[in-house]
Amino acid sequence: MTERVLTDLSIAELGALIKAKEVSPVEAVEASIQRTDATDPKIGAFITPTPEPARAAAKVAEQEIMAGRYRGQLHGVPFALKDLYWTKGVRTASGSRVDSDFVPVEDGTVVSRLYEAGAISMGKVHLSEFAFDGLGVNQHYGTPRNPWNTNHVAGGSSSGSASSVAAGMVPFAMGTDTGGSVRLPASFCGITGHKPSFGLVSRHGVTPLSWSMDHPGPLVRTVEDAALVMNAITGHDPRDASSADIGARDFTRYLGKGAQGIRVGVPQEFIWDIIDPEVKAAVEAAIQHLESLGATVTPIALPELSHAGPIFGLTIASEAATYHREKILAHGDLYDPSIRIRIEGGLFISAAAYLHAQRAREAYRRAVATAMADVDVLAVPTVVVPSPAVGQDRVTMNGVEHPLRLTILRASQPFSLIGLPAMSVPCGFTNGGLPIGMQLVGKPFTDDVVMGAANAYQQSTEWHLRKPRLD
Amino acid sequence: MAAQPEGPELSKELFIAMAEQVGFDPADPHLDDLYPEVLARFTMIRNIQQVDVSGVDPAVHYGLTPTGEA
Repeated sequence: MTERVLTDLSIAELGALIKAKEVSPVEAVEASIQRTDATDPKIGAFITPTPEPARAAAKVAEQEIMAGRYRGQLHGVPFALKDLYWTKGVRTASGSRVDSDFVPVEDGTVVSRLYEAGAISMGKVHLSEFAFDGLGVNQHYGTPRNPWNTNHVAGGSSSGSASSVAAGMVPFAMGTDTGGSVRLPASFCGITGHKPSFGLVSRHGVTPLSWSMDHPGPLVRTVEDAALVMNAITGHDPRDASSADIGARDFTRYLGKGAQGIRVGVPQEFIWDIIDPEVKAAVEAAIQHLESLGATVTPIALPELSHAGPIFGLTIASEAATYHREKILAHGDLYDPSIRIRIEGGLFISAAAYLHAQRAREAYRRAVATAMADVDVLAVPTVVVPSPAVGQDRVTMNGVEHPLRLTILRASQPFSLIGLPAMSVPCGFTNGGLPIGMQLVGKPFTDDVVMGAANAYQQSTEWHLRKPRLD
Repeated sequence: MAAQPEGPELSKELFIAMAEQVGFDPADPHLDDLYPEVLARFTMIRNIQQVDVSGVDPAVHYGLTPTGEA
């Protein structure tokens, strides 16, 4: 099998070939290295590639498999890590200059679990500084480009994670999502991304942005691949104070069940008020397609979605400021000026204001739970605009100009705020060739239900099979 | 920390006083860049104060159960 073909495969496809001993982990890793060497100069996804440790790990994996010690579908599969996952002995700068010398003495929980599953890290990929920018801009180390059009951003904050998968460098990458940072770049780059239920995936060994809203999650090519990664990384972790203990779960269990009987709610307010017409048309068509597959689609009222922005804004600012206080007061000049003031602004929020925001957050959670009582998933756009050009910071829709950084979070942060599982799947392209994503959102800990619905859609469409031309 | 105002404006003088209490050098010109950001945060606070939270405890328990209850 040629290098190009190997790097086009999903985890499930590559894993099956490795299990059958038709492809060795050494071949898979070499193909990943060659693809990265060929494409990353145009994209700029990797900050710290680790080809030699990857080659060594591949040889070990090959020996284990040949000796009959096959670990599962991730065994021998290459992946990349957003550079805020702590990696023992490998610098973890979190996209910042202030942590540019930080070398963890241990792996984070997610990293350890991926290694236990036999997956092979190809290295660390770029992100927005401390994951605090949805466009994926990083003025210190460079801004990864969108493989579909390198004049456009990959999106953030998991910019390198999305662009490395979309460009075929790795079959999957780990990102984190606080207000949309997995789903948003997945949508911009035409791949699949899953933000798990809060508490399902350990945050231990992940540099925090906002303790109560950070969600580690996978960026992949297919829904099935997301389920396979989730099977490897979930499970209670006492080192994460917010880790949920819900027992073992197979996230593939609803794959292949189809859309028949799935109840889809479509919130009518807020998200659709400011939206690019091509995005709106593509997502509406995707929802109609779900209905044609047997899902029941119902409009639902959820005006409280408009409350999410300010609650989210105060919560993330307060928590980020608390985490960064000492560093930013002492070394503020090392931060990107725009991110610096976003963090510093949180230092002026009183405990009373923060707690009022948490009361409003709980009232909002109850409103969403009530609205979702009779549906299984919500269907909305992932992002209300396609990927912007590099350097763009405003967007005009229907003759009205909007600030881009707030606008791109409009459809994702309402669900981050209350920890709901949410997945983005490709559902179309603009006339200019930029990907569009549909977001499916479930009730707490129904990630498997969300994946079942998303897989039903994906298996009956071909948007996820398109590949950007980078040669 | 100095009391946060309920009204529409956070004066520059009060902001500088708060900044000093937070740990900034009150003479740092960087505070001129920070002031508009803090004004925006205070606008957020006022917006959230419009939300009816009577009878609602703050959601400070991060972990959720499978039924969605905190």
